[in-house]
Amino acid sequence: MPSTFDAEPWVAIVDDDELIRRALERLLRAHGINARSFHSACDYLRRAPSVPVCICLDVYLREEMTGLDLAEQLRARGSSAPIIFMTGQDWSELGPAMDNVHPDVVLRKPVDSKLLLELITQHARASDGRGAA
Amino acid sequence: MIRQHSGRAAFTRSSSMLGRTTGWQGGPFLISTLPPGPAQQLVAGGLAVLLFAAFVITVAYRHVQLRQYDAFVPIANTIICVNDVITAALLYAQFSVTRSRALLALASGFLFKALTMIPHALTFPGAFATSGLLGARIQTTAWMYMTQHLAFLLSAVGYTALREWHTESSGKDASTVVPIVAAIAAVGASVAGMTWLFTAGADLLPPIMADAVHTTAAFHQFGARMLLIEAVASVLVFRRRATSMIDLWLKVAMCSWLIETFFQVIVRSRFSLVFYMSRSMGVVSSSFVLVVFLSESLMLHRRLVLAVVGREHEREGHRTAIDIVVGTLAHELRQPLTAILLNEKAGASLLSAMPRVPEDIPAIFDDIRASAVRAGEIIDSVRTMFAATAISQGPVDANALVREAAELMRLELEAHHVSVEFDLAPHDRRICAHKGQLLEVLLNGAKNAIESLATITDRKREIRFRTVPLGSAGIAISIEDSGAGVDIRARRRVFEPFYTTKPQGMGLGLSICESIVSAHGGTLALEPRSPHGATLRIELPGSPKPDVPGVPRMAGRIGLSGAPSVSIQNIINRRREMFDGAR
Repeated sequence: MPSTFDAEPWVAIVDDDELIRRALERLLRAHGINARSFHSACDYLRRAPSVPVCICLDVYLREEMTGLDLAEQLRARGSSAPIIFMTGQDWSELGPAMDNVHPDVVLRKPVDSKLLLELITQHARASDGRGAA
Repeated sequence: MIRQHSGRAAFTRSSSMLGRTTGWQGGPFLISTLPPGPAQQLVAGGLAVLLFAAFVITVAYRHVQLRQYDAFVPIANTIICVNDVITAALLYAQFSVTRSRALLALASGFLFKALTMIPHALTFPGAFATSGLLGARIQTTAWMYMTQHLAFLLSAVGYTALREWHTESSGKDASTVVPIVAAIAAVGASVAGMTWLFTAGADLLPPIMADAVHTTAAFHQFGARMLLIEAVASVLVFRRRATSMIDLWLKVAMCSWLIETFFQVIVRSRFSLVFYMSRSMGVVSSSFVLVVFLSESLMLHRRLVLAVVGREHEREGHRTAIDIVVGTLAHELRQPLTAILLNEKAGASLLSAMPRVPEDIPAIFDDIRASAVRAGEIIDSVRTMFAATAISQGPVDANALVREAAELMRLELEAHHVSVEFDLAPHDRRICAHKGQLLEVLLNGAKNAIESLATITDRKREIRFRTVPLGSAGIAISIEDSGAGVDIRARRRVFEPFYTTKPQGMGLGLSICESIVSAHGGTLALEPRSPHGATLRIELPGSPKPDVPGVPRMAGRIGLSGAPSVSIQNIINRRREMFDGAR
């Protein structure tokens, strides 16, 4: 994981659905938030330039690594980036699968865009605060 | 997709006909229509051989005179009477279902035989009174015995002839009560008439008994003529191939009847060995016919019950399939809906920063949003609707599950002459699972195995269920067969998309089986087996803490139910593959 300090706070979007990535990028851009999107967990691990203010992470990704795997790995590496999970599954289908990753937040698709935006803004502000301190 | 097998298919056909109560011929579910199997033919043949052996022995000792037991005839008659009344009732009941006139004739024959036992015992000299009741003459019982034989013979020939030439059932909507009541009345009247003729009118008939014990030459002449008639009738009955259990046992009854008549020709006096044997044979054959009819009826009932239970499971399988289809659709539709909502929000945000906006535009964005939200709610409600049918998880004993699957498949296993072996783990191993779903996987595996055995003729058709402990808490269940092997099946079926499942299809297909096993955190593999056949191997990890759901913090609605350790990654990947395949 690149640890170079990036002055610009940014939000990571990890989802295998291109339409969702594009839409979320647009939304964050419209609110003046930097966003980078990644189509898979490996893509994120390879290309993420620094620690983002938060990660919008799809629970299930098409590639070998799922969102859960990525979250687990990031935790293991001591990453502090908060994760906003997004999932198209029913709550009942998730169940104890979430046990290992202790997610901060899980939003179910179709996500409440207003709530998502609020959560991201909160994380961005908190990150600003940390950056200022 | 997985085809139906003959056993279950036959049930489906006949059950659809059960709705129409008229014109139903019974299919393989009535003793009057059930074709006799090799085992039943063997039993019937065995009894015929025994009867013949008894006949030979009796003929060898035909001069032996035994003690006079006056109670013998009433006892033998009572047994025959009760047996034959029940047999007649069974046959009348069969008639009321199938409306076959042949059965009506045969039932009436049995009833006539049963009812004549009563006056015969009453008039038998020494049984209830020294010279018999009802004003009996010396000739009475002998004539009754002869008539009884002739009448039953007539009904047997009538049955065979009607089966042969009168295949159409009687009037489609006609009541069956009227013919049955009429037949019973006719039988009752003829028994009464016969009794009157042979008691009050006995003097009009030629004497066939010299005294209460000894027969005359006329008796033997009558006996010989009857034997001739009976032999001709037997040829008619025996020439026709037994196409039902009743046909088969009628032949056995005819054997016994022929032997009894032959004894009439050689009997010199009452209470000889021949006399006792002839009566005993009547008791044995009537008892045997009744026992066979009753036990076969119960066996058929069991088959029906199994078939009904099988259908219930089939329905459960469909529900599982629907649940998985709906789940997949829900997931796939939520993706684009998410994109719509995010785009709407982005658009609305950009719009709000613009100084001048045409007045309809914000309303348009609001409507897009409302529509997408509504679509999401519809998906949720459909999911909830089907989730209600899903049965919750619980501890499942793998060995018991395997046995249940084999029991449910018994009809099809029997129909395809497949033998089943069990090689089960010595200790019960309980895993937390959705029992109905796992059972569905096993049934599906067994069905595939049976199907692959259908073409096997040069070796034993065998399915072996094996359970082996896996790790500390898991279990591996395998279904091994000696069938055509994995290649053919693998190419045709494995991972076939479920959407091709026909509505009347029996199972779910291996693709959905895999989804089910994956949802339990397990794996499913189809491997070749040496020297023949294939092995379907289901590995299920134990679930260490099914009762600790571990609820994560969630924004928005929270609704976790206690699912087991789910490897959702697998199930989602599988679903995506299916959908990619379907596109």
